[in-house]
Amino acid sequence: MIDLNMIWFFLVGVLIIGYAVLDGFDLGIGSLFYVLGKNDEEKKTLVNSIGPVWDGNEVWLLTGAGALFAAFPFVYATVFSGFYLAMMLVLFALIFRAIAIEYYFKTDDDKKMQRLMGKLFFIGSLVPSLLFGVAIGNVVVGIELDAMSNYVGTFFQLLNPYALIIGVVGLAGFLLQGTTYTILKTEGALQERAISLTTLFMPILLITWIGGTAATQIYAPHMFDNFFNNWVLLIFPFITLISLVTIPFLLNRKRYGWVFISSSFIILTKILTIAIGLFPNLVIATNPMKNLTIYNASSTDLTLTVMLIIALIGMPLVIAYTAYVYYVFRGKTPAEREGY
Amino acid sequence: MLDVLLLSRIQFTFTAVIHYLFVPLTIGLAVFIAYMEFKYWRTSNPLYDKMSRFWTKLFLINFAIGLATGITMEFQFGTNWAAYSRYVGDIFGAPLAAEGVFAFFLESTFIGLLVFGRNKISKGMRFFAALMIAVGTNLSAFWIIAANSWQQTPAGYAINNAMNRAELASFREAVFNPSTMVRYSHVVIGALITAAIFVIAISAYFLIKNKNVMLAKKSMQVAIVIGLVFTVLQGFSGHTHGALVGETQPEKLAAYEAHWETQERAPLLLFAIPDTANETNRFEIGIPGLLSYLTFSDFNASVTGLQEFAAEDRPPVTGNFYAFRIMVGLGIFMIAWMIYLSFQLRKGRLWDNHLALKVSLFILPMPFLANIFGWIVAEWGRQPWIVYGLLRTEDAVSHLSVAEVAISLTLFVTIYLFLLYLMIYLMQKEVRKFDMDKDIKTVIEDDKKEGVLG
Ligand code: HDD
Ligand code: HEM
Ligand code: HEM
Repeated sequence: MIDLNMIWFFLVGVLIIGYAVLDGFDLGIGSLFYVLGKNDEEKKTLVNSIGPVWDGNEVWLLTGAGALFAAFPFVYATVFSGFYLAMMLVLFALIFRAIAIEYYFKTDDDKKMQRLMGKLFFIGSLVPSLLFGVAIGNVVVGIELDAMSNYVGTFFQLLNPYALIIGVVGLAGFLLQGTTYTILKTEGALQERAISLTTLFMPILLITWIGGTAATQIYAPHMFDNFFNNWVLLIFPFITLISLVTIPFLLNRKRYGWVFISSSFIILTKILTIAIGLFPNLVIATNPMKNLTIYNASSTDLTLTVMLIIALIGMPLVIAYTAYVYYVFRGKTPAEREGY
Repeated sequence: MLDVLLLSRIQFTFTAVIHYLFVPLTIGLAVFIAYMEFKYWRTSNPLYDKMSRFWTKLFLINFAIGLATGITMEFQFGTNWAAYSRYVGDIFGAPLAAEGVFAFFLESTFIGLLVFGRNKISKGMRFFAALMIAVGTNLSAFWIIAANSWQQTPAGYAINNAMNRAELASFREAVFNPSTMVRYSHVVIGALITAAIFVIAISAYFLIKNKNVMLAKKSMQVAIVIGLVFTVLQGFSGHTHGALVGETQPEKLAAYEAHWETQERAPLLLFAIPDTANETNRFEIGIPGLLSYLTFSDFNASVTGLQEFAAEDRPPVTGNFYAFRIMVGLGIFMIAWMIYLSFQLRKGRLWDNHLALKVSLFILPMPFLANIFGWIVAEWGRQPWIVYGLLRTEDAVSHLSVAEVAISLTLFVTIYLFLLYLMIYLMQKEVRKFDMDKDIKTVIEDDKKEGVLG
């Protein structure tokens, strides 16, 4: 039987996936700002390529956090307070990134300031790209909770080997997302560079992904239970693999749109795989009795119902006008900013 | 002693106050810009295009920091107020999520369209984008105010003792709790006043410098009308608000009026020095009966004093008392100034009245301060409760170490000061270098290319 708690597990997942796929390329481009952009003009093109859409992309995260708060308040409270300093790092990074993107062109006549904006863009993208994976790694491997579900470990315990490995897998996915998007939006030398980077990242992602899976077998074997009980679910990691290996062929045939779609599918199925492994848990505790699940950490059915109505009214609208805006900005990005 | 509670309170206050320096201008200016885009769409007069472009530049500088500091707020309920989040999540989370779904997506997506897509979309579409931004920011304000108002006047809930939390009983009652609409209108009016005075001040600067005169005059005319209407309305709105507080949170009213003893014909204090230790005022000037009248529309009504409440349930008095007087004082001054400017404008004397223009520039900080002090009254006056009557602030804080919060607070202060510096630097640079004649040519050329202008 499907109940409201499951639906909300799924919907929070959708928001996280929407965030990772869309803001994923913003984060990837920022993390590769100096690798992709070799001169002034290329850098401007990069910032411009995400300029109109990055804020909308980030709202998937904000709404995801809001939905987590509303649907599973105990998870929101435990994770956000438990990972306090890590959360603050993410937060400061997101602040820097927002300012850097919005002010990059405003500081055009003050090169020193503009260079600072470039640095903030880079740091503000790299840090979250890595830390999102680290956070997921910790939630998956199990954290130490007290009777009130407060995290009792330290900041440095969060940087354990398994979490760092998952962090790297996440980062590799974002980098690929960034280069494949750049291929779509640029021309000439910049596009060439993005293509060769994509060729480089594909095997790196493949290796880290396999490594991450092996590490999960060692550190968090419980993540495989649901797959063993239901073999069909293996379709999702299988899609990850297929998407990965098709990228070189698609690149060869210059099917750049499909390259980007493949990369997006990698992110989507990676997250689905983790979600399936976790279900019905949301946070694994070192003591399994204290796991936060979709039942013991959730809001009441009334709240979940109200939220479902909000989501059903709101999200189709969001998707419609987001699609329209992407449509308006289709095609290659110029280096100079128009209008304002 | 610096404990986690105190540090978290300082951090929340600091970050909220900075966020709210940017919020009202975003909300109010979005409405102005939508109006200018509307006029441009209907009249094709390039002056409106010019105005919209100029104010949008400033809007964007402001918006960026409003956005960046807003992310902090969204995270902080979980990071610093975990116990609070567990207690209210069932009720409080939904409006927050609704804000994301209905408001943040709207404003952020259409800002991208308006700013980057100017030459890609029609004039009508530009107006629509500007309208959606205005709608988005106002909706955002609605949902967050609904959530905040629920903390002030909880409704539509039931307490689940086993889970130790408040649970939703009626979404409609929770969202439209007794203070939501009163507070929402007060906040939106405050935002419009802020934008009006901002536009007036920057236009005054241009007029003093004798630059961009056409643009400045037109902008100022619109802003004076809006400013006049809404400063006056804010007086009424504030009065309604005060009366409601007297009914729903009597100890808050008593605190910001420094009203210690329950009494009939209670005076409205114009000035006083509250003395919390002795539960009295050391010095006071007041108008007899006026407080009773303002709260209950009856000069002889009895107004509950602070002494009726246990000492540990009383909000701090001195800070609230002064904060309230500052907000109201600024409000009254702004009403007076708007009336004066309107007369000058009608008599056609304003443009040569350099003193009036200078003062208009000088009062720029006033609406920002009134907004901040308003929030101080609302939030400090709710203490010691975080959810009025249900949960105390001291029971709401996360399980953290002093070092953790000390580190984050230090970084917040450093980073936010840098943001403020950056914002002011860019704003004044943008205003100084702006030359509408230079700009207007490129606009017309652009539009010709696009076939928008014949
Ligand atoms: C009265 C209105 C109001 C109030 C009380 C608050 N905000 Fe705010 N917020 C806005 C009105 C607003 C806005 C007008 O929608 C902003 C301001 C500037 C901006 O960029 O949008 C915004 C931005 C903004 C953003 C970034 C949105 C984006 O990416 O576009 C977030 C996450 C929040 N806010 C969250 C909060 C939280 C959690 C608050 C409670 C403490 C809060 N705000 C108080
Ligand atoms: C839904 C939105 C809001 C919530 C949930 C909220 C909640 C809180 C919390 C948790 C605190 C800390 C407890 C304390 O310091 O006593 C606080 C204090 C405060 N908040 Fe809000 N707040 C909200 C909106 C705002 C906004 C937008 C402002 C604007 C400036 C604001 C201004 C303040 C101030 C000035 C304090 C300090 C009170 C004190 O000195 O303790 N609040 N509020
Ligand atoms: C003219 C006389 C004014 C009166 C009588 C008045 C009255 C009030 C009262 C009673 C509150 C407390 C609400 C509470 O405790 O929950 C309040 C809050 C507030 N005021 Fe005013 N106000 C006035 C002017 C202004 C002006 C001019 C602004 C801004 C431009 C402003 C902005 C605010 C804000 C932002 C709040 C906090 C949010 C809220 O509770 O609504 N006020 N005001």
